Amino acid sequence: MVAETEPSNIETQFLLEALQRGQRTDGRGIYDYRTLKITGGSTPGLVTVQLGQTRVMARVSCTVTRPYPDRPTEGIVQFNAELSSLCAPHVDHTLRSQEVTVTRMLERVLRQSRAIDTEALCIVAGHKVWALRVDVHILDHAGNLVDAAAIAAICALRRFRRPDVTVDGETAVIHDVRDRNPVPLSIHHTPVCVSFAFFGAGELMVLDPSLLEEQSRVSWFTVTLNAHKEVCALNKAGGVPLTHEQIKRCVQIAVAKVDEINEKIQDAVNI
Amino acid sequence: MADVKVVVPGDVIDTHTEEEESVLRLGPGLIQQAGKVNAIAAGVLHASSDTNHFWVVGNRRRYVPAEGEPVVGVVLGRHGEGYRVDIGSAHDALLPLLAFEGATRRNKPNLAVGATVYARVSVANEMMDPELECFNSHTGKSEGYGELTQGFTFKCSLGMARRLLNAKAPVLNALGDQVPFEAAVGVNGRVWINAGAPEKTILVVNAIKNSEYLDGKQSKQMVKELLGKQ
Repeated sequence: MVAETEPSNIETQFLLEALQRGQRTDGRGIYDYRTLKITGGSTPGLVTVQLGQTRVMARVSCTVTRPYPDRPTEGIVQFNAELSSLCAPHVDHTLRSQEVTVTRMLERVLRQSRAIDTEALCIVAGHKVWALRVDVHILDHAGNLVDAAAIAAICALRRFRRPDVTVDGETAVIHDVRDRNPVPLSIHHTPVCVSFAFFGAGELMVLDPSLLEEQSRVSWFTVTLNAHKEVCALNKAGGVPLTHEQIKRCVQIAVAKVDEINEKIQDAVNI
Repeated sequence: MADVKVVVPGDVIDTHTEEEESVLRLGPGLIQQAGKVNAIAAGVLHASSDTNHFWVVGNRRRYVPAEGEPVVGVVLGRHGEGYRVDIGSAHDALLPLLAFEGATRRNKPNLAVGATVYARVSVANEMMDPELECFNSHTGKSEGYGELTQGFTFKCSLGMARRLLNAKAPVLNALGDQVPFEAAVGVNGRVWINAGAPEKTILVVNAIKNSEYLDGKQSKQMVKELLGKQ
């Protein structure tokens, strides 16, 4: 099996030629997002997101565990992204770099931005806390996994219900979901990622790159913001340097786009 | 053929013809085992009565090479006496340096890494890596095979690629009436299109991609609407 194939010369050449005329190979505009569809079923905490042809599934589960010794009153949240060979022909199970990229982005976007209230996950300080696990499975890789994975993860977290707990001093009773309705998690805000790809010497830019655009890009930049238009994170890992004018413009575009995305998220999480 | 016969792997195919002594040609999806013909792919069984040719048409996206099929490949590197080409199959194919029209030891083609070629599968069996050729080995002429420059390639399902190979494909004809373009269709699910200007090429590529699940009439309608927006 061929590992990590580069696109052919005529594909990259054509892509650049078309971009210089302001066109994208899939007929979209430069600032157009692909169709976003969020589906949640009867299982709380299980969400599938479709962004164009990219398909991502997120699943949230929880267990009771001991907290970290330096953080006795906080719960634990773990993120895990998986790309199997089924999502794209060039993906090999030995190539971990894409999985690591997505997992790290999810950690920055959801854990470091303090979107999840980890103190609310505490049951008995120092002894028992909830440990959440967010598993993201990439089902189809057609570009821009980060945005799709972030939307899937936050929707799954907001739809998730954990068992109810009654605490009496040092003892805690965890109620079965059949006895008492499970309760939602405490989420402070809903961060959303908006990714951009750059080409040429960094002067050509597109929003929501497709797979071919992702493979041919020279630089990649993600803006993470929430519904209150607060910027939670800016992520640029390697590639051609960008001017601060470009960064400002990306943030402005992201601010304009986040409303549409957030509307779809609200529809999906308000069951 | 009046009725559509759907087969799954393991089905035994009835291949009785009028002349008992004739030679049967088994195409993709069929193998001969212990005197019987078995299907090894899921799909619709097709038979051509005048050439005694049987084959199975199924729809997948991963290509299994078969001899004689035209494919679009990307050159990965030069390897000894040939090029290593990615055609989307499990193993990369070998394209010998002399398998081009007019190629001699003194005059060999020079393909760059990442170049796109239209080739014919010359060797394909489960024991060897597939091999390609960019000419008709009997006549020595290129017959359309060779390097593809300019234009754009895209991927589609294998069933779609076979439909596109038919000269009467509705979507290609509907597009060709309005927008002149060249196309090279590989049965490995890769198609090359060149319509001159990038806008036109993008239009043709997306129209073809959209027509995957549409029938003839719907394809014509879709093309009309797409061109009407221009």
